[in-house]
Amino acid sequence: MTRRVRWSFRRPAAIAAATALLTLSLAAIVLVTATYEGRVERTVARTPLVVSEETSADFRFKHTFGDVERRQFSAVYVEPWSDDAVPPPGLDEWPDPGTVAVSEALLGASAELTARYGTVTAVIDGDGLVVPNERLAYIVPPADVLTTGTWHTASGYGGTNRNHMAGEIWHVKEPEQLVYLAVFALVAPALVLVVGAAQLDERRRRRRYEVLEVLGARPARLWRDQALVLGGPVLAGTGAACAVLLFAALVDLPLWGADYWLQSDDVRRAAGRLTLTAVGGGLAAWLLAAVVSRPTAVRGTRPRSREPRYPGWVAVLAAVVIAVTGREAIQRVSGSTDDAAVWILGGSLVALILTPWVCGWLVRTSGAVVHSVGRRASRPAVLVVGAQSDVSPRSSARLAAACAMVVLLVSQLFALVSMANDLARVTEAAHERYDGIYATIGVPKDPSAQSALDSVVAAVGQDATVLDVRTWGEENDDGRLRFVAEVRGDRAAMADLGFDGESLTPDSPLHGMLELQAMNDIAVNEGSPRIALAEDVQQMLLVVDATGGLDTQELQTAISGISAPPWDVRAPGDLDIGGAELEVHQTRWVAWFGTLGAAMLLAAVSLRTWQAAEEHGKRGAPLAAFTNARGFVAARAWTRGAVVAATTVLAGGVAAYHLSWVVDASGADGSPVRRTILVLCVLAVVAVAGSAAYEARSGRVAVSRWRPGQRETR
Amino acid sequence: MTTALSDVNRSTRGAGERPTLVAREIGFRAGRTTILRGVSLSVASGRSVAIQGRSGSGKSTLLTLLMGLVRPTAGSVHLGSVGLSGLSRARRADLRAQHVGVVFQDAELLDELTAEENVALPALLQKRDRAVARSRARHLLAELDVPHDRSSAVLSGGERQRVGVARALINDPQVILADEPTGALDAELRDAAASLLFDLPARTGCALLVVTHDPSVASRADERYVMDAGELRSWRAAAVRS
Repeated sequence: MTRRVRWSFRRPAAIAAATALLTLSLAAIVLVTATYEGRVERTVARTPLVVSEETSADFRFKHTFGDVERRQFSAVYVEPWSDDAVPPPGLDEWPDPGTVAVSEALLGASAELTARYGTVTAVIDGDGLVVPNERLAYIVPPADVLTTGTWHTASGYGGTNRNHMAGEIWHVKEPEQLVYLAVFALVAPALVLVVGAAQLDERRRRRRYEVLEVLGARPARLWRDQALVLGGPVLAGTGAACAVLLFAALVDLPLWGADYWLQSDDVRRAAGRLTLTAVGGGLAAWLLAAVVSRPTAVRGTRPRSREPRYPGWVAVLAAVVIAVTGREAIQRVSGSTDDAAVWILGGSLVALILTPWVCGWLVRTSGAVVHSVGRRASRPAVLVVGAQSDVSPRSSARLAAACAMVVLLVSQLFALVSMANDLARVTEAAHERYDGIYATIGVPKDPSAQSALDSVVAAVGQDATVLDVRTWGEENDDGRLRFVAEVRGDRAAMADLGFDGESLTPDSPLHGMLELQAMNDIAVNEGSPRIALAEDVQQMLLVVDATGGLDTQELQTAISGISAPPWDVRAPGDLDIGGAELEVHQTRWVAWFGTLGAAMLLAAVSLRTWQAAEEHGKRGAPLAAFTNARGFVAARAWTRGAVVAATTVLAGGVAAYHLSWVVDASGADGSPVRRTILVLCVLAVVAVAGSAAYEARSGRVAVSRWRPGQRETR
Repeated sequence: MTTALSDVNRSTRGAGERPTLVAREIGFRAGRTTILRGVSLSVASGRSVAIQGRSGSGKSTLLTLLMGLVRPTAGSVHLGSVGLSGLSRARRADLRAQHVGVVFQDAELLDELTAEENVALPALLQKRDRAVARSRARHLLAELDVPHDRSSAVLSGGERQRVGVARALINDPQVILADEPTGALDAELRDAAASLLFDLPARTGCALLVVTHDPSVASRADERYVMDAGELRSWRAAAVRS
């Protein structure tokens, strides 16, 4: 098989693969929406139908979130009132009082669940779950236990109020963010990949169209032929994507690393939209590839290269955009992090769009400098690379732009990951620092639970001290509500929690743990805790053990039998487990989509690098006639690599540095991503070095094969 | 379009010595650079014209204008009685397909195709009968002594150039334009290719215009011109001047 034939195979294969990936990227948007809709539907199907009349109710329930193994789960307390009451979906019969039915995902924590909530006696069927890996438990409390909080009376299932059964938990979270992420991290790179694939073998293909037009082919016919040529690969790619979607429509697929199930029911439900997406994806790939590889007007009988213009004002514009958006983002962080994110993402988008021109201008400018250096130093390889970069910067600029775009895009995704992981970081840090020293116990605003409260305090034990935290609202003179908190208890215990005599120290864990930052006024009083329940005061108990011997699990188990739901015993940081889990889940998606997007961009870069390196390598072959061409092609390849690497770092690294501001607990800080940017730049340089090595090797092969009378190998 | 092609047919078929391709006072500028100025030229059917000149003198640009690939910035080009400047890109392509054969410096074959397919390509672009086109391609290749079923990628330089000539002849053109047709050939092949080309006017009645820098090739033409700094002079006048 000749090299030309290999190229003729590479392009259709690359276009087919790019089309499949573009179609699947677009399908991902539909699937995200469809799975969300399916999950809402399944949530509704198993949500009890609330009735206001107790007489017409068959059972009552209360939905809460618990946590085992430091992961959140849905704890649904249910209490059947009649023999005719239909058990919850996924169960054949009601669990007995004092027992628990759990989903398969919670079976591993049966011992912990049994200790806290009752014996695990049944497993919930998949029919009763929103997702196969849902963490759900139906708990039937013992008949004599104190029930606290608001319980709903219900009859049957199909309630549309999702708040009765599920709050904002990741598997039924609104999909907007995922859709935006998919567009940014999947669809955009897939489009770049289509462009890269369509541009393969560009020089030879354009020359072919020119020859055909000289021979009398009408431009419209060339367009039509081009469309037909693209039709096969595009159809193949669309077909491959459809095959993947068909498989997903038949089999439930776990998405590795994302803790997410793509359920075949949801895929089938979206069959119509997916079909349209497949058609649209194929059509988009076809149109884009057709525009990229359109036959251009022929200008003569000899092959000529067309160099795009890289005006300097675009580079200036890009620098201004990056400077302004970076600065604006920092200034807006104190006001609104949403505004800052819009500025950062907007700036990144503009920077991404301008990158090819900026890189072109940088390559051309650096080419002029290198050309001048080569002339003065009488270094042929440097002279040639400089002249080529100055006069014909396109291929070097493309490679540099692609690498720079990968650096910018991936660093932005890492910035998002860093922001999304912030709560999890803070939570984990608090847990590690204070676990065993203190815990919180949530207490209901219900005076009837006073005897239970006394039991709880008794269960704390002698080694620990109990502090009382009370929060309430007061109306100011101007009619506005102000929130007040009072912490009361033993001086030594309060000192352990950052009490400096009159107020809390800035680094006191109480600030983050008890949401005291939302309080207008915090009073810290030494004295005996007023452990008395009241309807208008939110109360929380702080259990402090300076020796570090506090076992929250043991305490939770000890007080579990007192009420249903049991009063939550939370170790430091555990209060935010749900929120942190939600954000970590988002992070997984960023990593998932980011990895796929970066892989597609790298594939696009590789396609360009592959061909450009071969072409550059072969250009020096005729020099074998009068010089040590091997040394020359190697020196030229490495000099060109240096120009490309410098451009990549200058364009991608600097833009990423200015735009990758992380908004987290420590404010607007770019430092968490700086190391990532450094690593990305090093990786980009390594990739460019690999390209240079390949170019040098191609050049050496071309030199060794060159014979007098042979022109440049095409 | 039909009218235009009819005009060409009426004006060229059986026209004897009537000019087939005429350039009147054409000029061409690229930006601020003047590449051609005041070039007038006519090529009659059954006659051959050669244009010599040094590299960069404007020969290929003139050829590009005569083919109708690019419009001149001054003057006009006529194929028969049809002015090319007023026609759209598509119509100019149609005219080229039906009435002009082009021979490239490097043959410019499509390497994926066989010699026969390459030759038949212009006929197929004109939607001519496939069997007829293939038959004619084989006939032309046999006349030029090139195997019709071999891949173009494995043909020698001389064979490739002969395939290029056969391709230019497949639509029975009134004009053949050749851009350095022997530039990539050795002396022996160059003479063979030149003979092949310069025999064509007598054999087919077409007009032949060859752009070359090779005096031995140009000397075979009925008329010779020299392109110098964008201006066209008769060879004799140029010889006298030098």
